[in-house]
Amino acid sequence: MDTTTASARIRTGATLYAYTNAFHQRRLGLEGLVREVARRGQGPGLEVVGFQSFRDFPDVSDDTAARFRDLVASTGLTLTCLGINSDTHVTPHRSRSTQELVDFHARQLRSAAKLGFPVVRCQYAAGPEVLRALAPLARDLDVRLGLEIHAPHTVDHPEILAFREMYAQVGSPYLGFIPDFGSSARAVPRRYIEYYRANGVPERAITAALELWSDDSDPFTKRPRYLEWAAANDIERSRALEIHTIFGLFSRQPPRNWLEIMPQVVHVHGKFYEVDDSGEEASIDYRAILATFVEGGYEGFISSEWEGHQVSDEDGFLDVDRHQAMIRGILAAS
Amino acid sequence: MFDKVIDDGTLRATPEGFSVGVRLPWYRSLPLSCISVNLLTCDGHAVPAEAITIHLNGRARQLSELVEEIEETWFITDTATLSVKGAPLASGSEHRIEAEIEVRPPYIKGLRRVGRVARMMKAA
Repeated sequence: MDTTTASARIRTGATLYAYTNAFHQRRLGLEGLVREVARRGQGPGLEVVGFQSFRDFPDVSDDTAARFRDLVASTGLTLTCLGINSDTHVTPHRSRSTQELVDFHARQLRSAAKLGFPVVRCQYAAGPEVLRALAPLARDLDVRLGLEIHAPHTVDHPEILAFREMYAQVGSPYLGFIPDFGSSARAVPRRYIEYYRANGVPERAITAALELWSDDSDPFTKRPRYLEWAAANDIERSRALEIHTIFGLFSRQPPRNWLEIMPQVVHVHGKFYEVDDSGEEASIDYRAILATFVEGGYEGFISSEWEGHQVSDEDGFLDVDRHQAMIRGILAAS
Repeated sequence: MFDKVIDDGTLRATPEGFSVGVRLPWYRSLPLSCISVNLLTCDGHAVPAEAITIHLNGRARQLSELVEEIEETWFITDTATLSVKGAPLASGSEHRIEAEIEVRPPYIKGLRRVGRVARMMKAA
């Protein structure tokens, strides 16, 4: 693959999720964030999480939509994806029915169209039947549905296979996938380990968690197995609950497994935690992953999705700079 | 983020007791039914849940009412005010306030995350 082709096919972008701290801490509002992304050249792709950025979500008013479209047009950024949510388990005792979920997603899909997004990110909790029911509306609105494949899921997990089978039956170009690179991690990010250490998780509990994370057993069994181990080994439950989130945030899928769904990839979450001074992401092997996406012929955007805000107060802008420089460097050399 | 559940400078002495502003420790707005205030203490004394009223979106509710509100959300940059009956504070006095807010993101069954922090605060 020659240099221009890989770099031209795969384009960088950012999701405002990467700057969650700046928004949560009220340092920048929606308009300020969008302008800052443009000013720093962290586009051209722009992704937004509906329930983060829009007060009236799952709906958006005509006025909100018009102002957002004007804002984006004034920056020259390109809208890539709107993160919508499959809010299923709304109380500890009540879950939305399939029809209620279809209606809830339809509102968000209409909001995406109104705001000008070509793709929405959906979550597995929707289940295949909800996305099947939404396919005609997606076609009418010309907004593609992208099921996010996020850790601990992998492309061959039964819950994802159920979507793949439904997609094969329906055969609609409006049904696709959004890989999240946290599914194909190679290590638990250093920042997380330091965070747990600083928050009173004992060293032996960290060691045991990392050993379990690194073994080849089913990632879906690791959370309960770890909690059992912690209870049997006198680890305070609140500390075990703190560190056991690593089993849900990062999975060890081999990067080449993404090839199985590559023709259906409609957008990508370039999940990352820390790009070091040498330009490497120690927890996610970007060289191997991007080589796979180049080989698979992916055309589209990769949103820089910094998630270090869970364990850090930084605003994310410097991290995204480093991440995009790394991606551009790898693509230019491929 | 999980240590950002108390808003700086929001402790107030009120005729009935005190109030303090709290934040949602999550990256997105959530239905009120997915949020609990697990703990509020003043100088080490836990405030009973029945003595707390939560003010958000222009309405006042008992904490026990939150679980019924499936449609209404807590927007992530909004402060919710917890007002407490009893435990009156003197204006200008300093207190150690601790709060824990639990979120249950509804797209992952059984997931619970808690944000908890203790702060020395001066009552306005």
